[in-house]
Amino acid sequence: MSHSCKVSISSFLVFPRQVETWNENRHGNGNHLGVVGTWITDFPLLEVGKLLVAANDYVVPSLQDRFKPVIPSRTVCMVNRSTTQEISIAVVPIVLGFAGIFYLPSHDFFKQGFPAPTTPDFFPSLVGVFLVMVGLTLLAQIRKSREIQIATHEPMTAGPVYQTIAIFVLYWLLLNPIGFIASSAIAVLALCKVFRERLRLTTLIFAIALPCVVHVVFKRFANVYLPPLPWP
Amino acid sequence: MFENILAGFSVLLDGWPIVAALGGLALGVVVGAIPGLTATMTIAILMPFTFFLPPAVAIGFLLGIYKGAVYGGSIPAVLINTPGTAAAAATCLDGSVLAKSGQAKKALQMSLYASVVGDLLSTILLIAVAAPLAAVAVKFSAPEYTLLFIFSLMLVAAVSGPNPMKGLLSAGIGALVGCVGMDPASGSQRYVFGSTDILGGVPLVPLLIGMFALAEVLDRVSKPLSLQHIASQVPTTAGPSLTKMEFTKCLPTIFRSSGIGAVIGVLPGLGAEIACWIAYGVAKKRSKEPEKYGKGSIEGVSASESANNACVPGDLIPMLVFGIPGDVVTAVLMGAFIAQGLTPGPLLFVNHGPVIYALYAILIMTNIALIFFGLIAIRAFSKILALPQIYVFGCVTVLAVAGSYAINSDFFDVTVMFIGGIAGFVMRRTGIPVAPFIISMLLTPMLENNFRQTLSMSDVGLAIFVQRPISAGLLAFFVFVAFVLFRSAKVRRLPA
Repeated sequence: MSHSCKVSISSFLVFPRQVETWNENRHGNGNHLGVVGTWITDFPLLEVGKLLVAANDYVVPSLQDRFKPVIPSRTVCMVNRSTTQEISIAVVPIVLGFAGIFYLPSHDFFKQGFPAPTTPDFFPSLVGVFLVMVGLTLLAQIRKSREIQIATHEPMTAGPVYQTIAIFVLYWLLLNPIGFIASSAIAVLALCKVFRERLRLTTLIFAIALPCVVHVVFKRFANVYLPPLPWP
Repeated sequence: MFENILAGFSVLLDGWPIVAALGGLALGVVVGAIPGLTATMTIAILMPFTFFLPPAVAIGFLLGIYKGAVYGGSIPAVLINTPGTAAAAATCLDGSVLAKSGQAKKALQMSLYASVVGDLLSTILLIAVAAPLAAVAVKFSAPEYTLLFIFSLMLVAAVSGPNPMKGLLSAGIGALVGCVGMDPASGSQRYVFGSTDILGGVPLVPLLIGMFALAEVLDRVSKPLSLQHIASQVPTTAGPSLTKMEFTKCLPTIFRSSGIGAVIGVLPGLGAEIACWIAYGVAKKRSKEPEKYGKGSIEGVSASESANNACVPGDLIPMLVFGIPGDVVTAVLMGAFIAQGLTPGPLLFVNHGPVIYALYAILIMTNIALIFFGLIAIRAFSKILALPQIYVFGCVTVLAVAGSYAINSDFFDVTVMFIGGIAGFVMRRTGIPVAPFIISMLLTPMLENNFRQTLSMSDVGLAIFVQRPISAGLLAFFVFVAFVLFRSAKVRRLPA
């Protein structure tokens, strides 16, 4: 394999390797440069790859040292992802693909076969077939390699994510019944907990003032009325 | 053309496009300087606010954000060894070493000047290339566009992540979502499940806001980083300034890296995140002092920074000329263009010439203004970083909801935005790239329309692609690229 660094258009256009655990092998832990670094090293520009190794050696330890005190012990690493998850990812396009082919109200696949090329059902059916093929290929990859694909090296704390999703759902549910200003204020105050901010007077003022300002800006300048308060 | 240039400048004389572009630039620099906030997210949440503005003001504002954010990412890369955006990752290598050795000011100045030069050169390329290319693209018809769309989608999907199959999966799902709604040619409904809300298709802008803004909030809460904790450790920006001689010495590197950045920007799927590393690698290889790279080389800073900023105008070329967004930022920008009634493509230069030339002038002007805003941002960086996260992400959440609702005053759009946010986060966490999904969703209606037209005008089925000289030439080029891709992938699978 050539170790030269040829910068031509063709050298950029290279399929990245399927499963690359370069960063994982080097440090056994994740970092936010790893995601970028992992797939850039898949390009045949090995010099660039070497530079990334250098970046990994230099930047990552310093980042880990820096952030160590603020990473809680219950940090869940998504590095060890199960094969089941990969199978789920592969099954999704198969299901979507079949649904795409068979759920076309104006076309009965069993009676009429594959739609004619100039009909409106042709393209969605083609996309459906494409998705099924992609799903099957993903399944074959798992079976063939028996390796767990590393999608991300970044650590994730699951608790705050679920809390934030719950806040979003609450925001969505409250938006119409109690209006934009009140629901936004509640959502911002709830987000304080997730971001571990103490509830100060300034935060309270911010939570109320922000939606008020946004409401006024939209009303005055864009003539858009965001969901109003339930009382006049 | 001369008339268009004059008309473009007359658009600027109004004053508001300039004010909006400078405001966007200042906001972009701040956003870029905060690790975790991206240009894509900011453009997505602020786009609905621009729908009510004239095209030159709205697009100028969004372009200002884009340019500012790409530069802003270099400030934390130098000062706290954390890139503000992925495009500044390579700047960490030498910038942070220089900062630790008391030369932060020098590194930051070089990063600023290299960014300005890179951006300026690439803007000149954009101005020189886009209009002539559009004149060629006018000759394209349905078969050529069909090939171009398919090729771009495949390329974006293939290079968007570590696993090309996941890129293709993302593009496939995007295409399926793009098929939702009423077929424009026949009026038949597809995948609407009886809902009237999605008869016109899945609303794109709310989905974009969700996938980039709300997903970003979820992403941030999943990473327990305290920026305020880091803010107290920001090194001083005092120290020796960049000398004229040092800058002149780096000029060849800056020119070369700008060229690399501009070319990479033009290619679909590749962006500033890749350009900075490739330019850095080439600069090291060509350097007389390669051993200094990674140990505080000012040349290294200039290489990565000029390349990533040169990508910005380069990215705009395929979007403006062919209507093909090369990456997610240009996909979001394309949404803004369409919302303003400026449908990207070769006819854009014919129908909206003055606006395009006004945007060119804005690109050059914001470039010069970047020096001023950059210097302010460098001084105010520790204060920017010390902003409580709740203020930043509270703003993002509220603006995302308000923006989604404001588009059509429809609660359904807010629902789509929330679904998009959770879907975007899940995609990030499962390693499925978002870019192919968005680009595919945007291109699918056009691809389908062109594909159907191609088949309608053909008596020989798919053979029409080889019968027409332009499409045959394009097909040959694409087959060549596919061969190179396949061959490289095969070679890499062999044991070393």
